[in-house]
Amino acid sequence: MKKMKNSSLFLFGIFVAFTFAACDEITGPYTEEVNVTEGGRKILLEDFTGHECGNCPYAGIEATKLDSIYKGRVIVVATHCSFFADTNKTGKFSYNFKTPVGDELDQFFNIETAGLPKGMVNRQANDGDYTIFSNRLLNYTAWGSSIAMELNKKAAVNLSISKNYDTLNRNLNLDIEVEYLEKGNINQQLVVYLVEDSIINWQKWYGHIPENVPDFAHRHVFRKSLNGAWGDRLSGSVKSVGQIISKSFITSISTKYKHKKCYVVAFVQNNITKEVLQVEEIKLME
Amino acid sequence: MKKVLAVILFCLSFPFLAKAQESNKFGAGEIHGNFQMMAQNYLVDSTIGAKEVSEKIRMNSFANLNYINGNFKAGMRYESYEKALLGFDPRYNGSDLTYRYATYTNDDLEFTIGNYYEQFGSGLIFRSYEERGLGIDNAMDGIRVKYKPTAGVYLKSVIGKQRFYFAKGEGIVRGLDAEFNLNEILSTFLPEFNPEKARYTYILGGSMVGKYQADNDPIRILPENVAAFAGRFNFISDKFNFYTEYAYKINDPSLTNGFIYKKGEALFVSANYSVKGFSLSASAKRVDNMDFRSDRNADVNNLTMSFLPAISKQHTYALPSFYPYATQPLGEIGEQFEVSYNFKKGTKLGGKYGTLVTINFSNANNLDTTQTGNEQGYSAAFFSKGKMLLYRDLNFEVVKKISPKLKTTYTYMYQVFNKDKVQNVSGFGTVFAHIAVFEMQYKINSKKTFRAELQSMRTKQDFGDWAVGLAEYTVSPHWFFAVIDQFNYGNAIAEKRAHYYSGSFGYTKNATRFIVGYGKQREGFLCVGGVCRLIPASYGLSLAISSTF
Repeated sequence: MKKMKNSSLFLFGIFVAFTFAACDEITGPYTEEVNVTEGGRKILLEDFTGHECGNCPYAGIEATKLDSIYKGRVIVVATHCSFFADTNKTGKFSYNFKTPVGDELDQFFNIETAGLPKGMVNRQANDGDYTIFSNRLLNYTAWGSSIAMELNKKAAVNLSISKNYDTLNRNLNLDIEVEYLEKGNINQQLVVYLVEDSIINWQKWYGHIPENVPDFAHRHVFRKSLNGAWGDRLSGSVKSVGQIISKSFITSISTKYKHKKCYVVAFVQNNITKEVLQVEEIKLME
Repeated sequence: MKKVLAVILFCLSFPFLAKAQESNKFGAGEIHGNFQMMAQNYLVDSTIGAKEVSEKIRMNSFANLNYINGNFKAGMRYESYEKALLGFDPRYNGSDLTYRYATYTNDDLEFTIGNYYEQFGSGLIFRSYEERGLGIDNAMDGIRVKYKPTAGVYLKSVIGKQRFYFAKGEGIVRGLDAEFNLNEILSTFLPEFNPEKARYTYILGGSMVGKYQADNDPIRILPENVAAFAGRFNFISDKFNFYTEYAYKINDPSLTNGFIYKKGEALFVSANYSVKGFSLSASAKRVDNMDFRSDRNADVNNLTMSFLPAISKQHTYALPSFYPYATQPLGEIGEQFEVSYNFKKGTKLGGKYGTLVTINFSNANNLDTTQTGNEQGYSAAFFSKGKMLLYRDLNFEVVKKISPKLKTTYTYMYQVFNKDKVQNVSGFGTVFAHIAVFEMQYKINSKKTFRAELQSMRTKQDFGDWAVGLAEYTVSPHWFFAVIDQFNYGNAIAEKRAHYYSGSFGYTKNATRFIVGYGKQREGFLCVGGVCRLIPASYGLSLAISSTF
């Protein structure tokens, strides 16, 4: 009996020691200097938001922080969607940020059901399963680590955008070149979005006083796609390393948009898995 | 590994299934299991906001198979969501084996490989469980060892990852629980002492749970190993039961607590006294930053390790459960009291058959906090309540048997529900609701029973007044028929004063049941940890099949 008691005490002691050993108490500092690596890969960070989503400004702050840390390597697009982005007759939230493409993405990735705020980093499947699409959505606290991992990957293509924008007539001509750094396939598509930054309008913000903010700066707002939610196929045949494909787009910029605040975001995605391979941006007016 | 084990189990199972038809037995082994399917067709109804569902029909189903042979037990579950019913997370998508395990018991040692559910104490720092109706399943996948080194000492250790829909969470969970039944331990020293005949029983317990999740955050410095500790004490006598548990968690910055580095703690105390015809119970709880998950970025009901039981009354009627209170893991202090008295038959209040009266009161406030303005977030006074009322429920229930065939129940309750804070929404404020319910059950004969409910809720807030009528006719042991109408007659918006009617009937044969329903389901929110999920309105035909063997 004594031997048995001793052995159980011994086992118990081992477990206690293991558990106590596994404690990381952080007493400060709580943040660290970010080591931004060099590389050709850029990251598309999609922030799904809504003006009546009171927690969404926190995600917006995170996106802005990451945008600023990874200057030039993270490109943010904020897409307003779900019932949180519905217009309200009260006058406070009457501005319509929603778009047909935003609605299509919402339905495809099941964003409304998952709840806002949510985001996607290069539309990567966070569990590695590319056969389903609702697993792309991340809470904003996970965006940073996902971006850090994505930045370590090699770029499969290079993107370059050149533009000719007629500020008077608001006509935009775009030439986009895709250079293959890896062997390309027929599922790769080029998607071109128009984004407007810093739209001042109402936003609900839990924890802020007042909670309904009349002059909130809505950053990186998705306005429209130049070629639908999923873009155009780049090529009907397999492409080898070094080949270049050029695509041209012509569009007009609505007077509803402040063209000084607008920029074009172009990205290449695999249209089967929806993974984003590369992204680039260019301002309408430098 | 998963597939290999599944194939082995299938191979084990198939030859037995034919024999299982006869007696569920094969040699010394037995197979048991169950099957459940719930399908619904979705129609559009603009008055309640039921939108078009492109698949028209959706289905959730699963089957469990368990094989038991002496000290060996193995099993698996196959789940299918084609596609998941509305209101369930769309990440429940497709069909697969989601649960498989093998357990062997050798003397005082039991080990499990694969999936398992487990709970330490009341679950304050660890509870792995499933709640299928809510779409919660945080089953562990790993190893569990249970060991009884000596009489009265029960050790449990777990390690593994938690289920996350059809995948696993990122964090590794490991834990230890030790329970000491002092009576059983005493019996080893005093052989003449019989713990089963003891008037009082004393049980002590302690748990430690840790999680590991890599810190890949480029900005924050995060603890990769977070541990929590809990201690508990239980005193049991034939009339009195006292239970208390205290839990403590080290810094655990997460999505739900806003990435603060404050310690967490929880205290739960419960006492019950019961004699024939009378019972009294009281419980209290204080929770401070105790949302504990195996993934710091998880939200809603995903990857929870801590289970903080609500101490408000769990109502079963439709309107009283309209505003259900859920524990606020980030901070609350609450209490509940219940007294129940059965007036004996033959007395003035008891009448011919006796009268059971139950009074219940529960209350929850926020914590009395002070913002610190740093990474600790806030400080909270331990014994002081915050000024904000989160929930209050005062209810009276009288159960009165009128005749051998007729039984009635009268319920009144007053509820205060801080919708903005509890559901983390805005603009709804606090709901004050008066609710009355009348239920009667009439036994027509030994096989046929008729039951009816009338419910009324009066409130000036939220959706306004509601009325509910229900009628149910049961022909045992095979059939039941039910109709219900929930009418939102007091909605401030006239076009939303909708009837949510539905009808259903069911047929039961032995351990198999079929239920067919048709009707409307109202829209509602599910909000946890700052993120809300909409459970949409629906309308249509449903079919449920369940069977056990």
